[in-house]
Amino acid sequence: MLARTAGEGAPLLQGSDEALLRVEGLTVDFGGVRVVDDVSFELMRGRTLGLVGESGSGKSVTARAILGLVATGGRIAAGSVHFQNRDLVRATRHELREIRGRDIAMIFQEPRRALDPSFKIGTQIAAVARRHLGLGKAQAWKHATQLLSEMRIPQAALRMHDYPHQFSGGMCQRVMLAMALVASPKVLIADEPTTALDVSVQARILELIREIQVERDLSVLFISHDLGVIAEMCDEVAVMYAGHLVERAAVESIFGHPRHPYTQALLDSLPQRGVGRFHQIRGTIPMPGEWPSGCRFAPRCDFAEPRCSAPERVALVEAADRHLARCVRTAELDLEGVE
Amino acid sequence: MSEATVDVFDPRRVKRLAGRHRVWSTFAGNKVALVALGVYGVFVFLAIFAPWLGAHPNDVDASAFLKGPSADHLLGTDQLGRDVLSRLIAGCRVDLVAVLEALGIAAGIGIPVGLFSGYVGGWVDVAVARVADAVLAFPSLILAIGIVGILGPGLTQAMVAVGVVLTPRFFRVARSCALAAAREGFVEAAIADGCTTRRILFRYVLPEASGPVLVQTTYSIGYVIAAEASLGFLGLGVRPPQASWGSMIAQGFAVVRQSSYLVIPPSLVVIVAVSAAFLLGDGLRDAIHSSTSRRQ
Amino acid sequence: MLRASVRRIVSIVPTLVLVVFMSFILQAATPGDAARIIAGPLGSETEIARIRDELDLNKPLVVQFGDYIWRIVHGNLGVSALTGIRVTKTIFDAIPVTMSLVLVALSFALILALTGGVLAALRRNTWVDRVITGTAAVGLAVPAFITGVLLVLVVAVQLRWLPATGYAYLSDGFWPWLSHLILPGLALSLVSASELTRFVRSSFVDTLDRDYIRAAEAYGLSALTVVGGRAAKNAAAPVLTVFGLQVGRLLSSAVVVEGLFSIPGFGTLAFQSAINRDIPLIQGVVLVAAGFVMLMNLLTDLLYPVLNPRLRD
Repeated sequence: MLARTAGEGAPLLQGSDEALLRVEGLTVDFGGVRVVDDVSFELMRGRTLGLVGESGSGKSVTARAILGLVATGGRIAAGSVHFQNRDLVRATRHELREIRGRDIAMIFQEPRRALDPSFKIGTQIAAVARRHLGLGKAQAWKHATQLLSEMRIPQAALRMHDYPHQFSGGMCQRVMLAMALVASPKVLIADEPTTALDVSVQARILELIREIQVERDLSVLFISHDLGVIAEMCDEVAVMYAGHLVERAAVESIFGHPRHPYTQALLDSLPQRGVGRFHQIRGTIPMPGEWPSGCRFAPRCDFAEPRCSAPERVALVEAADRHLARCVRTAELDLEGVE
Repeated sequence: MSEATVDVFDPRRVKRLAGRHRVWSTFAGNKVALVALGVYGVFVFLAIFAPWLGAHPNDVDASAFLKGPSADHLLGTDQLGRDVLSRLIAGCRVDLVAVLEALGIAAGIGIPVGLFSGYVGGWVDVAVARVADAVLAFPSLILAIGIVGILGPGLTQAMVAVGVVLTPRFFRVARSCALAAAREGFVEAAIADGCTTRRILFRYVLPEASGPVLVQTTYSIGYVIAAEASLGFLGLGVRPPQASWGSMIAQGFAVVRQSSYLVIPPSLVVIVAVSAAFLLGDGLRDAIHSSTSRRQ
Repeated sequence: MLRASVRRIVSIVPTLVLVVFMSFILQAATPGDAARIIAGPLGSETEIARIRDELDLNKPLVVQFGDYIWRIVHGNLGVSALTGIRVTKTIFDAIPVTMSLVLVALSFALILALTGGVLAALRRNTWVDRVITGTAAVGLAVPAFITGVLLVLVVAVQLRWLPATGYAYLSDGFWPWLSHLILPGLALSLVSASELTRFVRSSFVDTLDRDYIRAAEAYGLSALTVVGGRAAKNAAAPVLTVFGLQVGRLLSSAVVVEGLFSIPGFGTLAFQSAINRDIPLIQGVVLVAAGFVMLMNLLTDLLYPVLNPRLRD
C-alpha cells in the first residue's frame, strides 16, 4: 500500500455525500501558546464524527472554536470553518450569534453548570425559541414544553416551572438537549455529554441522541475521551493528541486496523480487552507549550525510532483508503486493533 | 518535664520561622505597601520628635493671619496666626496617642477575650459572641458619640469610645483564629501534656493568631485616625487650643469663604494617613495569605 | 423557606435584648452623678434630687432595667434633659430628614457602583478597569466629611453651583429639597460607592465566568440578554448583602456630614445630644440607630432567598 501524502485539508470523501461542516487547518492559540494545531475534518450530513483524545489534547477547544466560543485569552490563529458557504472564522459576531443555537447547537459536559440556576428551565428553553424562531412568549413556552416531552421528561408541562437544581444530572442533560434542538439545528456538537453522568444514565442519553439523530437527520460532532462510547455512537472517528489530529478514518477501520500507535495504545487500555491486560500508556501527554518537535507521541510510543523525532513536523498521510494517519512509520506498522 | 523538651526542638517553631520569612519576602515585594510603611515611619518619627523639631503649634505670629505658604511658614498660617506645618506635626503626636489609647483598649480586651472564647467554646463562647454582635449592631460613630456624651469631651474619652467600638472586631478575629487553632494537633498534644489553659493560649494559640490580628490592627489604625478626625471636626475630641487634624479642618472650614487653602493641608494629611493604613493592611494580608497557602 | 425566615426573625431577639441593655447601661456608666449631669451646671440640689426621683435612679439596677424595657415596649424613650421634649418625638422629627439624605446617598452610591463596577468587569484588566478600581481604592480611605468639605470648597464656594449648607423640606418644593441634598448626599455616598463598586465588579466577573453564561452565549443569546438579564440577576444577590450593610456606615457618616452641612437630622441630633450630655436623648438615639441597623440586616437576609432560588427549599 503506497502511502500518499494527502494535502492537509483534502476532503475525506468525494462524491454525493454532503459535507455540512468542513474544518480546515484550524489553529488556536492561548496567549501565544498553541493549543490546537492545524486540525482538519469534515462532518457529513446525517453522520456522526467522533473526536477522541485525552484531556489536554485540544479536542474541547476545537469544538468551541467552531462556534467562535474560544475562552478569553484565546484566539483562532489560522484555519477556516466552512458552514453553509460561509467561513465561520471570518464571520462577524452578529452572524455567529445567528448561527449559534439555530444552525449549529452545542451541549456540554456538565449540564447542571450550563443551566442558569436563577431561572426556570422553561424560561431558558423558551428564550432560545424566542431568539431564533421569533415566537411570542406563550408560543415559545408551548414549543419548549413539546420539546421537553420529546426528550422523554415525564410531566413536561409541570417541570417547565422547575429550577435546574431540582433536576438530576441525566435530566439536566435532557433539558440541554431540548434547548439545543428547539430551533431545529442541522449540526449538534456534543462535548463529552455523558462523562459526568452515571453509567446507567449514560446509556439512555446516548440512546436518546441516536434516536434524535435519526429522526431529525442531524449531523453530530461527538467529543469524548471514552473509546467505548465513540465506538457505539460514531460513523467516523478523528483522534487528537497534543493539539494535532493524529488519525482519522471510519469507525470500523480505526478499531479494526488502526494506523497510529497512539490509537492502538488507546484501544489497548480499554477495560474490555480481556482480563489481566489493563495497559496504561506510560508517561503523560505533553501540555501546550511543551510539545516536542517531530512526532509528539514519540516519547511514549512503543514503536518509536530516532527518525520519528527527526522532522520538524510529521505530516498527515493517507495510510490506507480514506484513512489518514500522522505517523512516520505508519506504512511499516501492522497494528492489531480490536474487535 | 515535657515542656523542657518541647522548648529545645520545636518543629512548630521551625515551621513558624520559615513561614515568617515567606511573609516578609512577599511583603517586601509589594512596593505600594512598602511606601505606606515608609509614610508611617515618617509619621511616627514626627510624632515622637515633635518638640525637638522646632514646631510651635500655639505661637501666634501677629504679622501673618491666614497667609498662604511662605519662607517663614512653609504651609501658611491659620486665622489666628498659627503656623500650619507646626500644627500638623503636633497633630501627629495627638494621633499617635489616640491610636495607642484606642487600640490599647480594643486589642487589650478584644484579643484575650476572643482567644479564650474561641478556645473554650460551648455556651460561654455563644454568649460572649452574642455580646460582640450586639455591640456591632450599633453604627460605630453613633455609639462612639454616645459614649463621649456619657463620659464627657476630651481626647482620652473619645479614644475610649473608639476603643469600645473596635473591641468586637478584634474579638472576632482572635476568636476565629482560636477556633481554628483549637483543632490543631499540637494544641491537643499540649493539653495531653497537662499544660494550663493560660499557657496554651499564650504559647500556642496566640502565635497562630498573630498574622490576622496584625492585619486587623493595621486597618484599625486607619479607622482610628479617621474617627479621631471626625470627632475632632465635631469638637468632641481634643480640647482647644490643642491641634488635631480634625479640628484643623473644622477651623479651616469656618473660614472657607475667605481662604480656600486652609482646609487642604490637614485634609490631605488625613487622606494620606488613612490610605496608607489601608494599603499597608492589604499588603500584610496578601503576604500572610501567601505564606499560609504555601504551608500546605 | 418560611421556617427559615421565622427562625431568622426569632434569632435577633437575644441580640435585641442585649442592645437594649447596652443602651440602658450607658446611664449607669456615667462617671459621677447622672442626675447632676442631666440637671446641668446650673441645677440646684432640689432639682437634682427631683431628677433622681423621676428617673428612679435610687432603685436597684435590675428594677430600673425592667422599667426601662417596659417603657420602651410602650414607645416611651424618656424626655430630653435639655429641652424637656419627649425623646420619641424629637427622634421621629429628625428621621425623615436623615432618610432623605440617606436615600439620596444610596441612590448615588448605587448608580456610581453599578456603572463603575459593571464597566470595570466588562473591560477587565484594561486601563478603564484600572482607573475605576484605583479610584475606588482611594475613595474608601477618604472620610465622608472631608469629601464634603472639599465638595463645598469646589462646588459651593468656587463655582457657586449649589447651596453650601442647610436643608429644605420637601413641602418647600422639589428642587430646593434636592439641591440641598446633592452635595451632602454625594459626600456621604463616596465610601459606600467605592466598596460597592469593588463588590459589583468582582461579583460580575465571577458570574461572567460561569459556565451557564458561556452556554447562553453558545445559544446565540444577545449580549444584552446575557449581561443585562442573566448575569445581573445572578450577580445581584451578593451585591444586595453588601448593600444592606451600608446603612450602618451611612448613619455613622451622616453624623459628621449633617453637622458639616447644617442639616437638622438624626445625625445632628446624635451630635447635639453628646455635646449637651443629654443622657436620655443619647440613650434613645443609640437604641433607635441600632434597632434600625438590625432591621435592615434582617430585611437583607430575608430578601436573599428571593434572588437566589437555590436557597428557597
